[in-house]
Amino acid sequence: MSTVTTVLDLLTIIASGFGTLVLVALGLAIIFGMMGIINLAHGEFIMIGAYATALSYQQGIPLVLAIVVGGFVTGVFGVIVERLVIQHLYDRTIDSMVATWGLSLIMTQSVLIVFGPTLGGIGTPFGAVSYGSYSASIYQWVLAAAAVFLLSVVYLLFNYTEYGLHAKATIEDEETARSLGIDTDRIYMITFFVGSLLAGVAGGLFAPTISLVPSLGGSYIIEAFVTVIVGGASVLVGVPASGLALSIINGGAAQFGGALAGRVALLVVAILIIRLLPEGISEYITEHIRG
Amino acid sequence: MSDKTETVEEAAGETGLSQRLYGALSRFEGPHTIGTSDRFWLGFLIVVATILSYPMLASEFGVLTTTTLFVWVFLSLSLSICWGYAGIFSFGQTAFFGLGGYTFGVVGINLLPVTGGTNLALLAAILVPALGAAAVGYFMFYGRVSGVYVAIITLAVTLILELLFSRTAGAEYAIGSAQLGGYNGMTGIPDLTLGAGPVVIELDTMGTFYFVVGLLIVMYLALRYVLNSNYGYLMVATRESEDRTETLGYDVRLLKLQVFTVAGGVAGLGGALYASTGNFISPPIMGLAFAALPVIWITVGGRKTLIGAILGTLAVRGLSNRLASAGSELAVIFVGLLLLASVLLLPEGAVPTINQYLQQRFAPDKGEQP
Amino acid sequence: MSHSKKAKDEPSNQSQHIIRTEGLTKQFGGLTAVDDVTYQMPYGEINCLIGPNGAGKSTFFKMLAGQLRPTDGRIIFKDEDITELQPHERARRGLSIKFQDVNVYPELSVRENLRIPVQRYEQDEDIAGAIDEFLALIDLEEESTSEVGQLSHGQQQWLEIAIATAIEPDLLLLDEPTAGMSIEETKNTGELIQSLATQGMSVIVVEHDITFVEQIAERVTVLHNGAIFAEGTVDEIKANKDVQKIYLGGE
Repeated sequence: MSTVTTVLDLLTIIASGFGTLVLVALGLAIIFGMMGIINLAHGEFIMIGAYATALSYQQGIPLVLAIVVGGFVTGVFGVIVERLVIQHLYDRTIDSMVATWGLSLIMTQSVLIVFGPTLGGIGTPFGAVSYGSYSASIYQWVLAAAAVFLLSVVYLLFNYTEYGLHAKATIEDEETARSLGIDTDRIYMITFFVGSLLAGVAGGLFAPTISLVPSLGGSYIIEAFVTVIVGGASVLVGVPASGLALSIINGGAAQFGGALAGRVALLVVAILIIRLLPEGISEYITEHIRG
Repeated sequence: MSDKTETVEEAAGETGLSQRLYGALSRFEGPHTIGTSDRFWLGFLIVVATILSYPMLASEFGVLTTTTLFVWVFLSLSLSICWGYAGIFSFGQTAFFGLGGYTFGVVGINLLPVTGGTNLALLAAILVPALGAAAVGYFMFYGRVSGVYVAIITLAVTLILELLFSRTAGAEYAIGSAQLGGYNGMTGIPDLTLGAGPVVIELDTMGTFYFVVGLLIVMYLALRYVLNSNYGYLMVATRESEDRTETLGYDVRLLKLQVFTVAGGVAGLGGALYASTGNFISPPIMGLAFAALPVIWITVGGRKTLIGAILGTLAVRGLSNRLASAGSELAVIFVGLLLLASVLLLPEGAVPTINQYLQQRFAPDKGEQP
Repeated sequence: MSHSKKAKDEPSNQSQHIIRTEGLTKQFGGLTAVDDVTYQMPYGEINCLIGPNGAGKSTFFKMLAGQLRPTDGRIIFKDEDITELQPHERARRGLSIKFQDVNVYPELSVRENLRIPVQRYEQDEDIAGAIDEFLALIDLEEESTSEVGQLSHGQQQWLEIAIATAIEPDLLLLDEPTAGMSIEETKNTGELIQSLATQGMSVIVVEHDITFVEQIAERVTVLHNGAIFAEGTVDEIKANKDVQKIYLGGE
């Protein structure tokens, strides 16, 4: 990580961190908020998306479309997992953590066996743009923009579609929702599809910037998990707020002590926030706006 | 599930000595541990005898591997104590395991030339992690943090330690003459050298085996005693319903703090044994992959009983070691499937399920446990 | 059994109220659940707390038990300000609560459920005997080794009442003890509570069942919109037109 020499550099680091955290956390947060499930295989879902995107791209599909493909493949995979495993674990948060950890082991190893230790890389699009005496990578801003875009999509999904209406009713009170004729089982399935698709899209977006190894999920799951919990129950408020706060902390600390200091600072702050704001950032914000 | 008084009464009518023996034994029995009959204790003695004779029959490598397996059990027991019995889902017992190992290394390397033994190192390796656990525990429980939030805080703690210890490469990162070694870890950690005055033994492979097994047996019995006492009932009550237990006049924050501290000490002891048997310790031991291991082992074995935790560890770790050394790529997949199957199909864990089956099969009327 | 109770206490040199609140208030964001409640109850009384849904009864109870911190006000129990005390400290001073939701230890047997409170007060050798006495009190001797999941709803409620009583409280708070009970069970619960009161216990019961209230209440307090709306004997409250209105007024 290069040292900050301008405000722009600092902003880029924060934007990039924000983008990454929101992208990895959004799918996980939706699933947690709706079904009380913590999917510790979420990192592996990101990996599936990255692999699907890379393989599609290598077949000649344009990158943006390849990312969409990656998202959908992961979404479909998610539905299979939901029907086989997740549906037995609604609201059993701790059990879901343990079970999905087992799933993540299976997924990582299976991909290793089938695709080998690495797929190689697929190269950063747009390249790096020189800014006078220092460089900034446009792609980091692309990630941030994609994060904002996906947040908007999720907002529209939950507020302007029939699924969204039913989903909110189900989160509110499952029994009442069912007595109103809502097929809650289907809602959960679709939700897990959406969460998995978002993970896949995140993986696809990361694919150009990382080396594609089966264990790539491991570097994302902690951040995703932490961002979700710190964010709190309200996804659309919590995830961006948490992503912003943690990326500022991470980026700031990294300036002084490198990537490692950034990670430590992120974890320490997360611990403090969990302790001081037991409902997460989103509850704190909504209560203070309301009151 | 038999009440304590029934077992003693069953044994009444014996002569004074056996009666007192049964009376004493009954304190180690209860609904929270497996085994309340003569058959169980007989089986227990047989198993112990088998384990103790193992080194005479096996190769040195076999003994070393088995010792390491038994060392892992300490980590599992520490998680079983706080999660299985008191309901505290800690995803970071490896923090205290690693801390114990590093403490043993630092104190051992520095003091061995001075005192001639590693007794103090072993003691420090229990106390330092216990203190750490007390600090983390106080922070969490007196802040009313519970459930998944405890999991994430403890996970964060172990990852922070992993990161911090990785940062310690370079000669300036040394405590006394002990180099922390950064990501590559601390080497030159001494063997267990126990005793005082003229009787000082440096434990070789076989000696270490017996020491570890001995410690494990003592720990197992001590835990059985506590878990079947009033305090044990309180732990289970806290696990089942914290709110309820609190409104009955018990300070559950304090109880959880106590349990978590003891669990930290047990993990630290395991870490010390780990460091001394391998003469080495490094930061990944406190990373995510290792943090999940005791969760896997005791979930498969059964986290709410000691035997479940012990056998789960030995079976799963032992089996995956075998598969891995046979070159099988499927070892990890096997463990993952086992974990999935356990959560979905056998939530109590393998050992309690088998125990219940055996109970129904062999003693359906008496309700005794084999 | 050391649960044997003294006769109705008439403590001298102390106030005649076992519990009272001064200006007790609870706000959640913009919502006021409990509004400046000044409540008092004499020793040895059975007081029923009634009111339409959302009147703040459960919130009030939770503040008395220590599970919720008041936004304002004080709680005085046996002449001691307990507002800042943790739930377990209040329990040790003789305040016991049984919540609305059945909250027994789900995976323990009936015996074990009772053991938890009893083991605090009894020597090891007396524990089993004390448990037996409570089992007799709630008529569950035969089910003592069953898991609580196998009990009927009414039996689970009684078990909860017994657990709450087993810590030898001076004040017992019961939140809807007859919810889900049959008429027969409700009547038996009423008799159980009355026998506890005869032994000196003070009881506050939150209830919806008017018949039950008539059966056991010495005095009734009506909560509405978080404030005390009316107080009096059962007959006085029954005759109170305003009380009838708030129930019928479409809350």
